[in-house]
Amino acid sequence: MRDASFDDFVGAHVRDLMNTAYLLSCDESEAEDLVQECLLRVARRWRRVQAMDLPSAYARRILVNLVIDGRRAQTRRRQELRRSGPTSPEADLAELDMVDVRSESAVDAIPERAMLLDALRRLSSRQRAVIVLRYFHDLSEAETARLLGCGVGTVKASGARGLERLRDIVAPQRALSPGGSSQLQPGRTE
Amino acid sequence: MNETVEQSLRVALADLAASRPTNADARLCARDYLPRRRRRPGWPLAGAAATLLATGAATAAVLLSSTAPEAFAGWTAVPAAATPSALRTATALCNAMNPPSGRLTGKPVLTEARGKFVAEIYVNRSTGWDHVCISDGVWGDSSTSVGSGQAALMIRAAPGLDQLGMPDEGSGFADGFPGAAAKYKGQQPSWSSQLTAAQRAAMASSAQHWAGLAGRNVRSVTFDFDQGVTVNATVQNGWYFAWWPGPALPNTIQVTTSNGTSINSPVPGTAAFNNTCPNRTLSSRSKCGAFVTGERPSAIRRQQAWRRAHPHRTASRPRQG
Repeated sequence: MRDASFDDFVGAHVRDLMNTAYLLSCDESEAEDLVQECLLRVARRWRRVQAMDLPSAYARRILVNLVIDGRRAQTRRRQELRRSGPTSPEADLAELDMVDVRSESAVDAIPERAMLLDALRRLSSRQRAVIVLRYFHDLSEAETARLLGCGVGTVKASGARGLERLRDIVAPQRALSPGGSSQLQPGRTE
Repeated sequence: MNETVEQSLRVALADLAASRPTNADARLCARDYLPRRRRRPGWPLAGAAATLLATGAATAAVLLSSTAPEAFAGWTAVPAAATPSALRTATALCNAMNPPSGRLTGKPVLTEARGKFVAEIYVNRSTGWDHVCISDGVWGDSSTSVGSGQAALMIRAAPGLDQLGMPDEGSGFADGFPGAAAKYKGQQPSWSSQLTAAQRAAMASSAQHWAGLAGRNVRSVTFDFDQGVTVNATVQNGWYFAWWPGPALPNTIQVTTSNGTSINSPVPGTAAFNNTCPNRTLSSRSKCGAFVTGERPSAIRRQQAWRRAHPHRTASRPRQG
């Protein structure tokens, strides 16, 4: 038997979770896997999660941690692979993960979106998490810090560095891209 | 100035999220997430099991006719619960044969006993590998088999509630090779490469095992062979598993769900199955009998990446370990 309350939760929040996962991972397939893993973890503790004030915030926290932990694990695998060479099946898997994968989709068809996606990819996972939580979910610095399990100062610093990096990446590309829209164009106050 | 940039970023992120294809949302809603609870069979089920056990000898006789019968004496077509001590012995024997990367650690996701034989499936969540261990519990001259793959978790599409995932199939026993477990201890990564072609062929025909993911509503899985012979799979914790002596493959697979529905499904790898699923592309998730085919999005992504990185080796990409 399916738990109707959990089904309702999934139905109500899957879109939001997928959006978050997509912006955090910059890849549709990876986002789907991340959300699936996130929902599996929520399901395991559903009785306790259900009793929380904001189950969706708990799910979002799991998702963000999955992304950050996943990047760390990937880095570790890369280091191990460099040390040992690709001789085992696990190393083969790690080898695949080392390849920069960019899915081609409708998103890439619009240059401005592709540019932003590309810029987001170049941020560190924590910087990207702060950017997405602050500017997509409109969380305050304190809420973002609570969700990430770090201090407000770290959120401020990561956010500022992330924004600066985004500007550095996007501005030169915009200069080379004729006729682009004004998304993320810095310094043009009315 | 910063406020303008931040506002632009808000608009751009919202636009990016809105442009995301939403096919995945429906797929995610349809999946089965809630953990299963272990259920002890009640008396009616135990009675049914006893009846099936009585026919087990005949089943074994048919399946064993094509292989060395003494090696699998006592094997039963209906699984029973394995004792903790038998499980510990089997784990130790299989670990002696496994390379370090395949060590069985933690708790198995599935265990069963068929006569003196104990089988276990272990899952390594960090690598995505599942390891199958089957053993008769005798050191040295043991009928011990180890198999591993990552298809069930890392490559195959996850099954729906009433479905089975495509199986990780395996074959072969160390049976008939006295001292196999001791002889190959510590040799890695593939001790089977030490065998001659004739030995490998003999092992491949000695027994078959099938393991895969099962949807939460799946209650039982039965493999149907010639002459009305059936082998019951163990269904536990979202996995199904069965093994049988000999090289035979089942003709059909019956899946019964919690609402009593029974699906008679063709067997993956056979012509009947391929006719049911003529268009099994990488991204398809069509229903084929009781099975869900297709691959996980992440597996497709890895494959595409691998092909781009190794254009000259595309044809030889290993699908599973």
